[in-house]
Amino acid sequence: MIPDWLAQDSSSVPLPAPSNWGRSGFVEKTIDNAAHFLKDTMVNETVARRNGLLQAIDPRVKLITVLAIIVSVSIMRSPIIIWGIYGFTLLLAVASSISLMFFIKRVWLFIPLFSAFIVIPALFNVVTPGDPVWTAFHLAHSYDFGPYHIPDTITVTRQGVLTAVTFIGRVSASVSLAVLLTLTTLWNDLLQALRVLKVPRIFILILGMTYRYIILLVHTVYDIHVARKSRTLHYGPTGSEQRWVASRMGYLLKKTYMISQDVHNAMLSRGFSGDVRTLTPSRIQGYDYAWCIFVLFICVFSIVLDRTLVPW
Amino acid sequence: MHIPDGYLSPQTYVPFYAFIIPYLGIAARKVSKSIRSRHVPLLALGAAFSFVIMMFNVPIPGGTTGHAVGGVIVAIILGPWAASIAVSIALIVQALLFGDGGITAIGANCFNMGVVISFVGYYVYKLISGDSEITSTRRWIAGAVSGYIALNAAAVIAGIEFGIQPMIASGADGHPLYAPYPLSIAVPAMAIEHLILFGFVEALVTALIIRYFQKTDQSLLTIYGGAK
Repeated sequence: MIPDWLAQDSSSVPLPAPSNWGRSGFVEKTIDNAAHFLKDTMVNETVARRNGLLQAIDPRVKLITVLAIIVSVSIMRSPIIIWGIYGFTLLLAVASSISLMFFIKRVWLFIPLFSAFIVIPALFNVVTPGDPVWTAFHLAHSYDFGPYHIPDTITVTRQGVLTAVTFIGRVSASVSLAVLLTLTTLWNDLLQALRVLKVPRIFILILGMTYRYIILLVHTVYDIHVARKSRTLHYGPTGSEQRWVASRMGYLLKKTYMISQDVHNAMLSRGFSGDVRTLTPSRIQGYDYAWCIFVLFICVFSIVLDRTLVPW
Repeated sequence: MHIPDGYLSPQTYVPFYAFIIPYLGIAARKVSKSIRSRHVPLLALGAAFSFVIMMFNVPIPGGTTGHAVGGVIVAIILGPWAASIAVSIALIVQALLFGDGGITAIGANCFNMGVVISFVGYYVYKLISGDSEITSTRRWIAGAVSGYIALNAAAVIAGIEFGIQPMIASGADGHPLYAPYPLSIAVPAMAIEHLILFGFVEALVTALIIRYFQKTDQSLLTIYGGAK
């Protein structure tokens, strides 16, 4: 026999989700964060297994060359060259079987878009004095508040535009290169590649374990919040919900500590003595040498061109 | 507070790398002395926890949510040396494997969020909690104050790192090439948002987690002291 409460129309039960002003609640946001993270991790693995230009390069060579381009971008001064490098990353994405729209979306959300937003005030003479290119508005007179000076005419300056274009270009080119590296390399290969930078083996072991336990803990966070959502008809007062979130963080920390003890025992039982051994890496191929020479050329050529356009 | 690539000039990020590489070596030796061979899984899991704690949304009055960095609670549980390594590893994994936080800025990020938050947080906590009982109210008040002060200290240092960029790296006509705002704007901008919002979230989370441990498992609050 079906109990009365189960026979009731479920539409009469208040649903938990949107809280104030139609925004989703903290439980839904955390579920979204965890789900997006897990999805992105799977997408990364899928892209890294495709056939493409960067996927074919030895991870050690790829790590060193991508770092070389990132460092080169960090010392450039000409926005033309920096945006040229950004264009180069788009070509690399296409050559690495990455959809251009997917790549642009992955790169620009969130850091470059945030950077573009925060740099807006730097366009104006209030922050970056210089040659006016566009007058925004006039004030009755200028104002001085301690170290801050607000002129009577607020203008966009040539120097401000140059600052913004250089800054956003550098951020987007650097983020694009980092995203290319992570998208086209399996995480395990990338960690092993760190050996080429003389990173100690024990540190690489910890990084690898960290990655694996991040996935485990994110799954746990997801499960905790889905379980909470499934038994929530309505959120309680903010204070009690804060205590609930903190208790789940505390629980996760306690669980983390217990897992670390279990993992340590498991490692000892398998003969772990603190000495870490890794598989012998594969040999670097001719293709990798060609890529090295190409990147070296790109870096040297772009830096020379940069210094020609914007001398020290 | 994760500084992306492009915000710091080489004049800034190179010295931070030069500091953080030997620092991690020294910290690893200190940790391996105090917690012996357990340090490998403990640091890995501590780093994973530091990464994941940022994923929690904490409800705050007004219907919105905030995030905690979580470095202070990790420092209180594992001690400042282990916490600074754990948070640094989390930041390195974020930068290298997930493209979050700049690769060139790894040294600065590890310093701000790993070293500063861990040490300031831990020692402010020790100063206030003193030799009080594990269940004492002083403990969670110490947690709240240390969370607030440590996060704000890290934010102000990040603000200083941004603010010196126009002074040390500008174009031929004086226009900034990296983070564009001077100290007079960058420091207050970083400080204000942490003083009025994120600092309180960190304080709240640290205090509530300590209270949770006081009620459920007090042994976790003695791990660092007991291991020494």
